[in-house]
Amino acid sequence: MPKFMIIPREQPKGLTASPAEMEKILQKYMAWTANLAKAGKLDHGNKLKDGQGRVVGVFGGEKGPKVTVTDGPHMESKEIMGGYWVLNAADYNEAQALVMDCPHLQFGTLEIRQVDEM
Amino acid sequence: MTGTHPLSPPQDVDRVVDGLFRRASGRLVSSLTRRLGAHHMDLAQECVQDALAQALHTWPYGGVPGEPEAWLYRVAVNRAIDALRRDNLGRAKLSDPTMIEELAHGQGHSPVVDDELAMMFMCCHPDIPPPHRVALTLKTVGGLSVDEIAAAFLIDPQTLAQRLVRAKRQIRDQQLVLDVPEPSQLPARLESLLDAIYLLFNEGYSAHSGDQLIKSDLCDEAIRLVRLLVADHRTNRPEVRALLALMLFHAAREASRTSIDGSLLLLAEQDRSLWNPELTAEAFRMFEQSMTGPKTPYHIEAAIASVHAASPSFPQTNWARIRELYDELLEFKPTPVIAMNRAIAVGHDAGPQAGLAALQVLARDPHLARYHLLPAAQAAFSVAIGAQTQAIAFYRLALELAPSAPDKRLLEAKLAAYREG
Repeated sequence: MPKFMIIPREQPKGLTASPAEMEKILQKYMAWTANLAKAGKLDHGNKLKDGQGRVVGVFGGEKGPKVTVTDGPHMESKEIMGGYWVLNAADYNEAQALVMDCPHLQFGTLEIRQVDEM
Repeated sequence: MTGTHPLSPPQDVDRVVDGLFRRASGRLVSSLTRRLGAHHMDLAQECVQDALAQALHTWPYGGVPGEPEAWLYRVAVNRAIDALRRDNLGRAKLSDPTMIEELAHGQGHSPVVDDELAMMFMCCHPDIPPPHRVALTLKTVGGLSVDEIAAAFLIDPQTLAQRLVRAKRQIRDQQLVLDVPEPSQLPARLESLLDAIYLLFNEGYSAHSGDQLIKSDLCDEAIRLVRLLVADHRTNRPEVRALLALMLFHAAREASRTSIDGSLLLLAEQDRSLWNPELTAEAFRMFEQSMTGPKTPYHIEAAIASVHAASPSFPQTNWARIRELYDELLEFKPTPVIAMNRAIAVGHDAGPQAGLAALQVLARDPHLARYHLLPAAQAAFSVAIGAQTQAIAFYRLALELAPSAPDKRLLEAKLAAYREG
């Protein structure tokens, strides 16, 4: 069965919510993945390593373009990805239907990309 | 501290036990504050909050770690180390480098109950005013947010935030230490701690409006804190057991206090079959075990609650005994509200005329002038002697003074039923 990568953008707000509120949100996510797993639709998920990462880019300097490496992405950034899921679905339509009730949609967007298995 | 924890598969939802975040937050803040020093309490809170956010941002993808609380603590400690090192780089050395190194190498790690006890004692130091004690304890050990505490106490969140700032400043200025007090100081320190927990329980139990869920959280939290004290040999003292007994007697009645439509029911109307038998049994056991020391107001209040718990119905209550107990309680705490409760007991014991006479005297007390339960009691006794006009007038006065919607509904229902009957 084709696999679809689900890439979440933005994050639930954590800094102002109370522990109980954060737990409620977390439980919604966990219930959602549990349901997908039960239905055989969740291939796997991965969390990304905390507080680490590099951003590599080529930037123009005085003496011409140069490869620059910076630390990051930083945890403070709301754009940072905490992880991703890979779902089993027949096609984009099914993949889309599967994420329609994802609690993440309360906070940000989900990008769906089919894995090209050659 | 490095090292990875095996991640459970994402479908393992049961690991996120109910209340883990709130409970863990209290323990972690206590432990981290103890490692960093009381003056770093704010930093400890920020780091724990960050760790919870980090869990929220990553657990949905990788699953709940095998030891969630240890995971959270490690993240919080790492945040603290980063922040302290940054501070030490930026300005003059603020923190002891040895302390940072110890933290970094995981010495003295893993949160323990003792940290929570120590935090409770510090937050409830006798020099801190009682309302501030309660707010600080709920924020630190209780894991509640400013908004949640403010909602429960029906006060403005900003006012509450200021209380917290003042209490924390006091901790810094007086250099209060995060420790369970020495045996010689323990009884006095315990008294101010129990005061705060009692206040916390009352707030949760009182019928003022506010978010009901948070209200019952307050009661649960108060009971949890006293249980911690009972579980530790240093603090397992008679007055602590009496307070736990008192709270358990009340908690056992929780389900019977409201009717199906959510309105309040008086003790006389409660369905006693709904009282929780396990909690009542535990309350009686605890009460018995509290008799080993000098009598305190908690003992007397627990005794009053035990008389109610032991009687099969409202009319069969041993009112003479309750009246005696209120007399005794008045000697400890001569407050207008206790005097009023005593007068009500007199009415049930010696008849409605005697009750009305006793309440009449108290009605002149300016402290009770705006207390709706006084005219409500006067109305009930007036009904009993058939003084219709007087009863309606008292009900109207009570309605006017009632502080919350549930209180008003209760009185309106009483008044309507009386007029129809």
